[in-house]
Amino acid sequence: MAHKPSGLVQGTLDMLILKTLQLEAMHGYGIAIRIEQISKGVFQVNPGSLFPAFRRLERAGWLKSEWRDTENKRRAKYYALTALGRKQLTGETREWARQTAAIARILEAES
Amino acid sequence: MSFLRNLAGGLRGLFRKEQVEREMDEELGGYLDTAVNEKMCRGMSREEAMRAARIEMGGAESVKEQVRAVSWESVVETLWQDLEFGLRLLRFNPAFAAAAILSLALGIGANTAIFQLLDAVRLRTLPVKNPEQMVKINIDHRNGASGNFTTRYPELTYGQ
Repeated sequence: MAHKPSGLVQGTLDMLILKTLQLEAMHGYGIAIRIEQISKGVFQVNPGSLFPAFRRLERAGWLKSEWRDTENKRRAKYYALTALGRKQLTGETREWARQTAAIARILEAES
Repeated sequence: MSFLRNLAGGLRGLFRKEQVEREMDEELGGYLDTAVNEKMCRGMSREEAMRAARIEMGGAESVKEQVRAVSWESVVETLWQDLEFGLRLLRFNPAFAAAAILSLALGIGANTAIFQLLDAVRLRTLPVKNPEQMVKINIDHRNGASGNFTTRYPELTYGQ
């Protein structure tokens, strides 16, 4: 049975965006494609949730943005992590690991 | 700090609305173009690619609406629009407007008046230093009064 691309677990999109930007600044499309590729197509992020997330993260001070030329000589808005964003990513990653480990323990428990 | 940034961003959204909107248009346009290019590289025709990219995007206007909805200034803006709309409706229908405004005015006025009265009579403490120490003294006539009548102040003995 072929699996359809699934919706993201609530609240994880922010974390995935922060993670994607950990190494370098990227533009919106690049981020969407990177998330899709790394998740092997399991997560497809549509612009309707991506761009609101950018605005939200920028307002929270976790992302900063600037207009730059792309490799195809177009102007695009590049997003990058701020110091606060890095801190947030570390925190969220730790919390995520804690929660998934707990859920795994519950699911594996002999009942 | 984060609050200030939020405030600054919001004010920019309110007062430099056109620029913010233009940037959003440009960003979404760029996204769409890149998506179309990518799809054409994978062998779609231009029309197919554009159609597919548009479907993925789900309508630029709705995306923009969702982005706007993230920020607090959109609440201010909606409120302002509602106010304008309300005023316009009132101007369309002056008789109804007058009746509504008059009844509101009367209602609020009457409530305020009654509250002021109650406030002065019952709610406020007396304007003296230790109101709990105040007592009321009645001067009674001797007949029918009880208590000590041999003090220097027999008039201030217990009344019945």
